Amino acid sequence: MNRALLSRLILKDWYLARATLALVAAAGCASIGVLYLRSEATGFIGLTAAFIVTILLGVSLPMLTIVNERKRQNLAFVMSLPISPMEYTTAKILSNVLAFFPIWLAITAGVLWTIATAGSYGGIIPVTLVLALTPFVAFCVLVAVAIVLESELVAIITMGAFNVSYSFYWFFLVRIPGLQQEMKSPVAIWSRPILSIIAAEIAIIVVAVGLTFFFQSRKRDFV
Amino acid sequence: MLSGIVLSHADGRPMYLQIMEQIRQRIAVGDWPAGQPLPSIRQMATDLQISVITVKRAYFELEREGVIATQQGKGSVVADGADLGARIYEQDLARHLEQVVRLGALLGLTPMEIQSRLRETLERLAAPEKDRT
Amino acid sequence: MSDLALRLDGVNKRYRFFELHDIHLELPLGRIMGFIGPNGAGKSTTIRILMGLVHQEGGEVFVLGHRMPDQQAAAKWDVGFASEDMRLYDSATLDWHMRFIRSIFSTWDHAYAQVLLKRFDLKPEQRIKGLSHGQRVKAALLLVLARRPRLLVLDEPTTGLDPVARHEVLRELTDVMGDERRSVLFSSHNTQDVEQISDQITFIDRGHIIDSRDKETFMDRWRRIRVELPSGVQLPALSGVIDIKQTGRLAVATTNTYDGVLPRAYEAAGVRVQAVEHMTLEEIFVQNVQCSREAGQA
Repeated sequence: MNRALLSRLILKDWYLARATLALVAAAGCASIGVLYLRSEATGFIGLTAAFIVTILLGVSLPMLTIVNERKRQNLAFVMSLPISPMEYTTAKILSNVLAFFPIWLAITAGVLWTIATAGSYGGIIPVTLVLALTPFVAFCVLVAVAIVLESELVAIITMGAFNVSYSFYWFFLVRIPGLQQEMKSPVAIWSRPILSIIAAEIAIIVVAVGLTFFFQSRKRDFV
Repeated sequence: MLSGIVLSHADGRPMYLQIMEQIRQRIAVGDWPAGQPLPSIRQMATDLQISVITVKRAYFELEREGVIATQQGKGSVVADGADLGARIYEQDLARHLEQVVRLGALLGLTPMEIQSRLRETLERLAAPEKDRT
Repeated sequence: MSDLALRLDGVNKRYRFFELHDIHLELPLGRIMGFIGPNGAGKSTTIRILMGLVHQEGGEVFVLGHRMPDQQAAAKWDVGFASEDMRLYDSATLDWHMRFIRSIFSTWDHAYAQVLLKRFDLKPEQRIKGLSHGQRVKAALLLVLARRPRLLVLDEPTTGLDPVARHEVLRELTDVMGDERRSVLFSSHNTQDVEQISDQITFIDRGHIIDSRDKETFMDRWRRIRVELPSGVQLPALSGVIDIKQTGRLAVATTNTYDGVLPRAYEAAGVRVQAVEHMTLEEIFVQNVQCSREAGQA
């Protein structure tokens, strides 16, 4: 598939999700702005808001660009274009990741930067990064599930499972030995458990994308 | 060149027969004189919004009847023949006469009865003219 | 092979409740094929296999010389596909779709697209969401026609259209035939449309191709013969007659191998032939399906 066609497909997906992308970008900026007010209360509000914004982005992008396309019977239209199913998969993953990643990165970097320059809050940076990565992981898994399993219901269940899991995740995270202490430190401490978790999160992202290509290549009925 | 032919879907006959008849008519009345090129098969098909194969068949049958002539690679033209118009009408008459005979037989009429029917019709149709003179 | 727009050879596909058997289909370049069959016969599945959207389990599929589904990306540059269950993007306008397609296909004919907008009575700035069913069908067809592809594969292009719209679509399809290098495959329930514009007719029922041949030969082999039995005369069983309906002394015989002999055979047996009628494609369709199903059950 030539680059021009690939970029047309990606731009098409972004065009269809334009309202959501604009909203999320605005909300992301707002939440970082709130963080800048530099009080404990606004700090908490800002962090929570930033977290929720990335979760919403990670959910709405796959729903709008993947699930809806199949549900609204647009898939036959896309596949009438000169592309193979694998090229479709590539374009889908790219349009999702290339939209999610920069926004996620900007929000996450904004949050971490604000924390880093806020004085002696450095200790919460590692944990914040771990938490910031979870919507990214959820997003990649949702993209994989939406593309491979083709079912709106399964996608919604996946979303639901992740949303519910965040509180459990936090529960177990704070019980890591020594973490509470490390969080109170004015400087970021990158302990082994934290680094392992970050590595695992990145691994899940890579595996999700890999499995998507694998299962897609074996499909016999595409539309 | 638009043929001006109009097909009827309500007509029970196959389309190729309708096309043939309308082409014959145009030739018989002199609208399409001898040597006049016919629209190409594809042009005719597009013009009438019907399949190419139907037009092909109509042209093929007309060529068999000697009404049109096809030159390899150059398309079809109305065949030469001073009496082509009359010949077409002759073919028409022959077809209708055959039908009269067949229908008569269906009705169980004898040849004598069929002939007297024909005479009756001739007289009936000639009558108004007699009245006028 | 290079003179075929498409070719299916021994294609099989099995689903839980439905199976395509040993499908053989060929469409030479420059022809229109009408693909007809009852609902659920396998038209849409066959078309999807043709477009590479579904992989066949057995057999070969070639579209414009490309092997499917492996080379579907290459094939689809020259194929325009529109199906009845395909939808355009609701939230976008027709104009957006036109620019989208135009940005991908260099064969887009802008002037022709404008002509089609007028003929189909469509407004480009209208959102797809606000279009009626008929308008959506026409919009999808416009996107496919304005590219002038070498092969058009259309699944039910006139279904749900009002008579004026149907007439316009048929006009565009027959215009396509003005170029002898372009071909069309279309499936339809509307037997009158198929009868009018097809060069070739293919019949499918319950996953089998019942018949596939050129239209004139096909239609020519079917006749309905109305006969009258004089008292004491029995109706003879003649070969080639696939159906007889008799009430009292009148009978109607249907044949699909007519060659002019049958009426004389009847008259030789003392039966009076009242009329020999051509049949419409719809009548042939119904008869064909009935006969093939009875044969399947026998």
